[in-house]
Amino acid sequence: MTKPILEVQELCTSFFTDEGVVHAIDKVSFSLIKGETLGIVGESGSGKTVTSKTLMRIIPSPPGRITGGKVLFHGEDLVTATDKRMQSIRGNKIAMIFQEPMSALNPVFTVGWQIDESLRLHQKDLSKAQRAKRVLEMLHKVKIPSPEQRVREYPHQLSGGMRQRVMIAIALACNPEILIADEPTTALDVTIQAQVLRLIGDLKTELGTAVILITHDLGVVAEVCDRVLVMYAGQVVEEAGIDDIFHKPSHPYTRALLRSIPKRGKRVEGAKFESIEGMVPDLKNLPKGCRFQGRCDIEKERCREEEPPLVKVGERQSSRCFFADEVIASSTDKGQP
Amino acid sequence: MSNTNKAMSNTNETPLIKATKLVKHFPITGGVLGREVARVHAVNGVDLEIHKGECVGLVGESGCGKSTLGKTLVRLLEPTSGQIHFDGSEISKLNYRQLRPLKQRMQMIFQDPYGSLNPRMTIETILAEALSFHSIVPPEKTSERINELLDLSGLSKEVRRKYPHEFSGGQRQRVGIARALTVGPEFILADEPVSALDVSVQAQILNLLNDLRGELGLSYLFVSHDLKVVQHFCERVLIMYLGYIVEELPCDDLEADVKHPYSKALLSAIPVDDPRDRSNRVFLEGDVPSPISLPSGCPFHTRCPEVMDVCKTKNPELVSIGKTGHRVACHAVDHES
Repeated sequence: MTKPILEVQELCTSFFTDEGVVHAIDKVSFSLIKGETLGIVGESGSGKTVTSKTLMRIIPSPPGRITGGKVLFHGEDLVTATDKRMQSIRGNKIAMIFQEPMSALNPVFTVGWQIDESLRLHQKDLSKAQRAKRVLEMLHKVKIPSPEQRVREYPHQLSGGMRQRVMIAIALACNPEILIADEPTTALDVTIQAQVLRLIGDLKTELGTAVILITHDLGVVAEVCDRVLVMYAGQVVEEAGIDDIFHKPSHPYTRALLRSIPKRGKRVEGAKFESIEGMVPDLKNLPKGCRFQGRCDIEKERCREEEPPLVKVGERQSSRCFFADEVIASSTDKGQP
Repeated sequence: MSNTNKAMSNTNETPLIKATKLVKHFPITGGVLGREVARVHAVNGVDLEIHKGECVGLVGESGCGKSTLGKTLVRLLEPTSGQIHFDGSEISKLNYRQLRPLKQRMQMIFQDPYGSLNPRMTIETILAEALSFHSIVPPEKTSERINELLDLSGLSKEVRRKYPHEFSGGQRQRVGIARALTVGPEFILADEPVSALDVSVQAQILNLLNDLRGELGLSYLFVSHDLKVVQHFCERVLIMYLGYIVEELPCDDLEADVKHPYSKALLSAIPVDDPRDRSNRVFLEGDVPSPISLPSGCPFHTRCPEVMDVCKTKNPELVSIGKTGHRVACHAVDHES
């Protein structure tokens, strides 16, 4: 197996608020190899965005603080790296795109200026002319029509999909090794979402960038990811290859999430939508035992007493459930067709 | 006013809401004199009918005029031209005072329940306000009615003294629904009611709306960008593009039935929840054109994969084809049948 470029080990981030300590993420571990797309899925409040921000060290502090764990990027721990070192990595080796491209772009600078900015900061050996050429090249790459004209335009002159393309151009300008995409298509229409996802996929293949895709949409995950982490209440509850997640889930939460997606196909008169009853637990005041208790359909006595660890249940699959075997057995799937 | 015409409402012939050639344009003013320099063609001659007890979906990309159409139908916006009939009586010209009794019969639920609930009012006050404004129940009965409403919307009585910020997204949407129900409406305009919610919560709210429909005999116009949800939730769907209805059809089997190239593209752009099926899809290039200067001919011809010469000059009419209730506005489809 190839050596991972990023290894996250037992990462914890907490927010110290007036109302108490919020353990936003709790011992999150995963690794990422070159050219791979890792999906992080979860509902709001599950800690997926905090995870990505922790990797980039852009957690607002105070109140937030990384309270433990390691982020090894080519063996170098980013949690303990100096701010200066972090600045040279952020946007250069690891880049990020956000959900709302309008608020992530600066309204008073042209698109060209903003793409150029990351080159100015990180690629100091390039001349002004070389940079200008690279900016146009990036706009071409993200398939913005008439880039010569667009490069002089301001964010408000662009549509939502176009802005997200500009964000991708900025993120990829320095050829990063890792691209973190935090809900990159949530604010976009399905047709534009399909365009942007295809673009990210194409660029990934072309540039060999590893992608961490954060989303709440399992459909998006099915479309582009190789491997998936499912997060719930700040913890990874399941990690598996893309096929296993959809056809052989090993955690009741994953199974419930999959059931709650409205299926395509014929309409069934009077059919109910499958929901997960109840709510995500309060992170300031977590229950004893499993965090999914109260919403789980196979809950037993033991789940309320002790907290299940994340254990291997298959070759590339881990689950945080005492009864993972039971969940796997319930899947009707008989493996790859 | 004749909106209590019993003879008419008894027959199924009179639709609850009927729009005829409904147009809504927004003027853009400019210059010192504030003259109209251009207009946004949000809704361009829409004909539609919603029958009693029916749930109709309205789908389209952002900026296609679906929210404007909805708001014009319930007279939150003044139509530029065209007629709206509610239960047989013409309402497009009514003034504020004349509209007041009508507002008891039609209500709205919005996408962002947080933005539509006053943060300084408790749930009790919010619900009581609507009850007293329309003098629905005598003051001494108010409290009892609020309990009923909370019960209907799946909230416990304990929430009465809470403020909107103390709720989760799903609960806030339940409060929004309870408020819409205070006046005992017949028709509810649900404008993206579940778009801001997580999938698991989304299902809870959809089931609630469905139950209420059966219990109270409500009719819905369900505005959404999510064709997958609409397909299961509604009986009939209207697909809108740049202010025109381009296709109207029953939801029984959308995938097999859709004819318009735009509807096909919309369906195809939805990510499939199965990693084994990363099949070829119809990709729409580019963005929705500006509704300020509409394209000539068919509004969709600039992005249509099946464009012909006639499409550039002549806007196709919405005509009935095959199955009952299936209407399409496309030259290509006309030629086939």
